[in-house]
Amino acid sequence: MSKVLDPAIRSYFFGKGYLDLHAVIADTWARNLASAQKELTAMRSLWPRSWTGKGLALVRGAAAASILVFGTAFFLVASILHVALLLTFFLLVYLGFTLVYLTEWAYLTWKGFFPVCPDCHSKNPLAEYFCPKCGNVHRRLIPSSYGILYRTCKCGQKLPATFFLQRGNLAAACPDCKRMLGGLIEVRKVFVPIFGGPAVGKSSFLLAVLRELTEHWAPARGFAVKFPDSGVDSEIHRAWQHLAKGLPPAKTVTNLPRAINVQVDRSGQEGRLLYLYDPAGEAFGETEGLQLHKYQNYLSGLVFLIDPFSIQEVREIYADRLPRVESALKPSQLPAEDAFARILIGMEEYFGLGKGERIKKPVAVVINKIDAFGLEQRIGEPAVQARLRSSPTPADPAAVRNHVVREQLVRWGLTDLVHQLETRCPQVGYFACTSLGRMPDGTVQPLEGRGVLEPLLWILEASDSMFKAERRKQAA
Amino acid sequence: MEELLLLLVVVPLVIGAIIVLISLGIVLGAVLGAGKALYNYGLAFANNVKPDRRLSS
Repeated sequence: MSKVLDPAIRSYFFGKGYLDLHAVIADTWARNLASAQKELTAMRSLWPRSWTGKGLALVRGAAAASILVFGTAFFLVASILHVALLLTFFLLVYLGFTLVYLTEWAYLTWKGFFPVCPDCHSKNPLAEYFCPKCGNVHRRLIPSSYGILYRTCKCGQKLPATFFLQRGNLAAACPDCKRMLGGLIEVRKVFVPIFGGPAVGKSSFLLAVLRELTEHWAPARGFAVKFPDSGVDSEIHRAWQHLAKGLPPAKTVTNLPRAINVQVDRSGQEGRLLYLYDPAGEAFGETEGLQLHKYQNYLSGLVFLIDPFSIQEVREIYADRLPRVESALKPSQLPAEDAFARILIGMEEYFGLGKGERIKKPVAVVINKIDAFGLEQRIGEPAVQARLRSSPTPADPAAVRNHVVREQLVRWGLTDLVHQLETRCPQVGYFACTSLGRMPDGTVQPLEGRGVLEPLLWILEASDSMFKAERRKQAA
Repeated sequence: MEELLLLLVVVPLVIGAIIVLISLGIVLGAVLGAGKALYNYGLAFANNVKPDRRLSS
């Protein structure tokens, strides 16, 4: 690891103490030489005089010799004590900051706190922090020789050097791309990418999830939802306003996905930062595009969206009605099997997933666009409720929904996909939703999703203790 | 007899006194020198040891 010099004042025992020691030795030696020289000069001038003068000359000569002998002895002994003192404090400080650093490292690793850039998606153990007074960048603001708990910036500002003292409240930037990282840098993060081929409705799904989370789920449980990145909040609200006027979201244009940071917290409780992101369909269409999605390295689970109208069987069933609504429905051209194969290829090629190895994260398989052609009645909430009512014994709604959707996928001829999903992913949940609630037909009726939040909550509950506890509380 | 007394008593006494005086002079000089050396160290320490961390980086 290269040594990083930060614009801070280093501990006395790690630098200046030794310079001071050297200066003391040099200064003492120079003073002793000068004093001895003075005594010798006096001795020379006294010697030729009377006997008294000779006697005094003797005293001065002895003093000159004594200065050199005792002076050397003094500074040797004193220097040894000085060094011992410096080294003792050096070791104490070293031990102190090492202990604090290791404790912090263990705590952050255990909690899964690490800064991730929403722009370049780099995960770094530490962000670059800015001094609030002078704006100087502190690249390694950790317990170190600059200070165990606090350090002093060159401008004189005291900065917390550890997570335990709210270091995360300082302005910080990504060490790789230098983008400013918005709030809650040092909190637990949950990464959920939303995968699927082009035009499966990822952007609409993401917007509907955020709306459901913000307007219904969070207020009902006393949580507050914020979008810490500047500008994102207004962007999302603008998109929601468009949806409320019956306008579908603009097509995602960027190939590099920009994660949406969602801060979920409740007073008196440690918050979470959800990284939800929507890789643009075009990037996903090319397997190579997946290398941009570095989040897969540390995802908490993934949502795999399926457009039912990309399935050949479904196209055939609705062949007579499909052409009339094709422009509104925008069926994805990439078959679901290919989309899933591309996820696997990308993960094998770029993220060290072995051939045939299982993805050890929850995978929510979500059939979108079920508002079309009455699909909701067949695989949506009404179908689940009907199945529950007809069940002779009380059944778990989640298990029933899983069964209904899975069964439909098999009926549509996606047996291979289901088999592959269940072989490669030990935790698969099947869901059905409509991100827009209806087909966009140019009318001003609001577009409002249904069933969009359940897949995300299922992932969150499987991967994060706070959401798991929330589910248990609701169930009780 | 007087000469013998001078030779055996006075001369050694005088020589002894001279040696004592010289020794005293040397001891006095040594003490003064040691004091001066200690003073020099104290001055050098006071002038150079300043744990003002702002001077370092």
